[in-house]
Amino acid sequence: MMASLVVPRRWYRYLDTLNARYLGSLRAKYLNSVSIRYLDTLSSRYTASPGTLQRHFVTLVPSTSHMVADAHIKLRQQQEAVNQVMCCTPSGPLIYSRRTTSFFNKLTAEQLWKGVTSVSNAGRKQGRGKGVGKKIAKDLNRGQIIGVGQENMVWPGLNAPVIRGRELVQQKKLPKDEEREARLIKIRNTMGSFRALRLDPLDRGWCGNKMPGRSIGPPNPIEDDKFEGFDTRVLELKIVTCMTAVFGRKRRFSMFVVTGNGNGLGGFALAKATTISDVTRKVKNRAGQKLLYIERYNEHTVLHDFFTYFGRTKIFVKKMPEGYGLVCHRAIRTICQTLGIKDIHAKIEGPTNVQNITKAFFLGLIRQKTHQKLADEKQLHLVEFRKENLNFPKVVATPQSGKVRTQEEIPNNEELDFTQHIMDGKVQLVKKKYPAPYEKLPSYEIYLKKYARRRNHQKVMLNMLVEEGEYRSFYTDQYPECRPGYSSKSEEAEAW
Amino acid sequence: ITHNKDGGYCDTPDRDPAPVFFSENVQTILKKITGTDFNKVFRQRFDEKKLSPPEYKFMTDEELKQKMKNAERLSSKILQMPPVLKERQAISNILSRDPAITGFENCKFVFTDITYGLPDRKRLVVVRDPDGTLRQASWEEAERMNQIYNPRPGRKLKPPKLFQEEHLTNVLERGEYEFVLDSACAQFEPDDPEYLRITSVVYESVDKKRCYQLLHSTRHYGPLCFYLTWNKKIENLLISLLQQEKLEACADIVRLYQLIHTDCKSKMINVDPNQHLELLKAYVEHDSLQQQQLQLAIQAYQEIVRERQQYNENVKTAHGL
Repeated sequence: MMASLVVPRRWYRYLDTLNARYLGSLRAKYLNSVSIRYLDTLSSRYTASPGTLQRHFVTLVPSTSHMVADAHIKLRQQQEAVNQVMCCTPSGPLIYSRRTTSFFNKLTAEQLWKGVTSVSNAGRKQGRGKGVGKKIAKDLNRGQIIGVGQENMVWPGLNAPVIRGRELVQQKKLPKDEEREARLIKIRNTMGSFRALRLDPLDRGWCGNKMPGRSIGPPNPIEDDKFEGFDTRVLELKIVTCMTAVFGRKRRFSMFVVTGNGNGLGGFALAKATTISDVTRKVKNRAGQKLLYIERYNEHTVLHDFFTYFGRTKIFVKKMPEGYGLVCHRAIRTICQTLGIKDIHAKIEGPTNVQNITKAFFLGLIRQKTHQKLADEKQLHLVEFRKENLNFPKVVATPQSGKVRTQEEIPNNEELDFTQHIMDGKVQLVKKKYPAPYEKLPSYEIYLKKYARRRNHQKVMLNMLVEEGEYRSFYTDQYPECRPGYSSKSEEAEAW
Repeated sequence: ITHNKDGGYCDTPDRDPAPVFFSENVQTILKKITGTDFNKVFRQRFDEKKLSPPEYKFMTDEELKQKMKNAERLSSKILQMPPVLKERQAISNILSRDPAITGFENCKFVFTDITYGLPDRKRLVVVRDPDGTLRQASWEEAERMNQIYNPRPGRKLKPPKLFQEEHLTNVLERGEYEFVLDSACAQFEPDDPEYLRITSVVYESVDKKRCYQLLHSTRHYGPLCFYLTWNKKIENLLISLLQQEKLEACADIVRLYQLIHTDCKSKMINVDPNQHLELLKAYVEHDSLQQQQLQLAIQAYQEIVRERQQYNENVKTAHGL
């Protein structure tokens, strides 16, 4: 009975702090009467092994009289070092016993961690275990390799080959790796603390470090279909709750994304799950299942202006020339980027609910009429006029049947105006642009007169650089100090 | 017949190309060979203007025809050829001599008539020299004054450095013929010796590089062909047209040659105007200066035609037709 004994630290604390006042409360808190009596009987025979005090389980070693005093001093120093409250000195030498099994190796890691980190349901309701003080279970396997442990041994078949050359490798004990402990502790110290995410600016969405606007990659491949060229972007990420009978408040993530291959194929989907990774996976795969093909004009914009609505959200979409860009709500901008539309103007009227915007926009896109369809509808040529091509009449589509109506065959009340036909008779209200309030003031006229002097200076200076090569006037040759960038110091330097 | 180093209409230096150029037959030929490729004539010019979205219209056949007619009228306006004129003579018109006021000032005085509505050429511009003579302004002085009082868009007071020798050759090496010719048209008058120098340099460069297609369907193609025909340098042009199998164009050029050089031998031969190849052969035999090359080209063309016919016939027989 002279082996070492491993006890939980709180037991050891009891043994250690044998203050009359403290005893009662400690006793009540941690131990029942049986264990107290047991510990008391052992207390005379054991001391704590100095290095183990900070662990959850303290190793008690058999104490000898001379060791006791040293041990007590060492203990005290160590405990002071770790800021523990020392109520009084322990009475005498300590216990002498050891168990080979305990709850420690009967429970799973998850259960052990739960015991240490969990908060009761009542506590959870009061908001405990949510904020900064939340304890996080650490994965103690990190930094460790199977086969390598405290005892540095060569196990053939496990961490060494069975046969090396022509010889069988033998089990061998190597000298202890001093730094292994330190390394593991270092790894474990870095775990568990919550640090704010640092995102590359290019990866950011429209919402700071948060998910909306960010890419979550292409949908997962299904057999042959690899979803090449697809990118999914999060439009909305919400935490939604509902009350359940069993758990109380049930918290889930709701994610709304749009996916597209930049070439007219795209789709959107909504999914809910309890963790971010689950919901991400679910939603992008769902979006990949609900793809639509939308027609584009010259692969950069919509076919024509249109008006759509979903719910109370109304969108006026205008076709724009190359280089205009995506002048629209950020949600529409994200959708256009995934679909491959590069130039558009969209004005939203009414609520800007992201899901409704998306649905309205997609509705409008799939309801677009191709040029050929329009020509067939009207039985007339569809002709394009571009200002940059001097309004040359370019026939974009002719009726497939080949029959084009004549002027007499067209009824009087038929809508021939292209924009009106497309918008189904609706006209967008264009508000009159009023002059700025300062333009009526007399001071504005004074400003204009003053500005007129220097209005053309930039062009004149540019021309001067082209023709003369420098900014010069008729003074420049006579007076060198007229030149820009001249300083008297440089003249002196030249003189030297 | 000698050729001046700088080109120019130097075949017979005194001969004025203008009456020939403006004659009806020559004009019809030049317009025909210029061609009207609407894609090129109405192409987008990069002039830093903001783009606007295209407009669409539903049109009947008649409306479309009307619009096309308008487009053709506009294209003929765009393809209007810059005139080919003789080099202008220096003005030496002294209005009065007043040696009594010599040294009244150490600079010249320029008086410009800025009456509204006068065309630039009719505007009176006179100069009083320090030695007292009152004379009509020289061409350069008059142009400068006109540009100051009535500035034309695209024209600068001082001609751009583009037109200086080294820069010009640099730009032409890059193949920017149309750009140079357009700039020259904007900057100079058609009878300006500078304009004639620049255009002849450009035409020579085009001829050397055989890049006639770059100027096809532009307003400079006509003057280019006229220049080459005037200076009897149409061989390369004919060969390149043959290689593109444009026989009618070749025949047109030969006809142009006959109109310009009325004393040519091939004109005497009565050739059926519809037989383009025959006309070309007649030219090659009698008037050409590089007979072998042209004959080789004609032979090559005939070979190709023959081979193609053969191939078609083979295909037909293979299909059992």
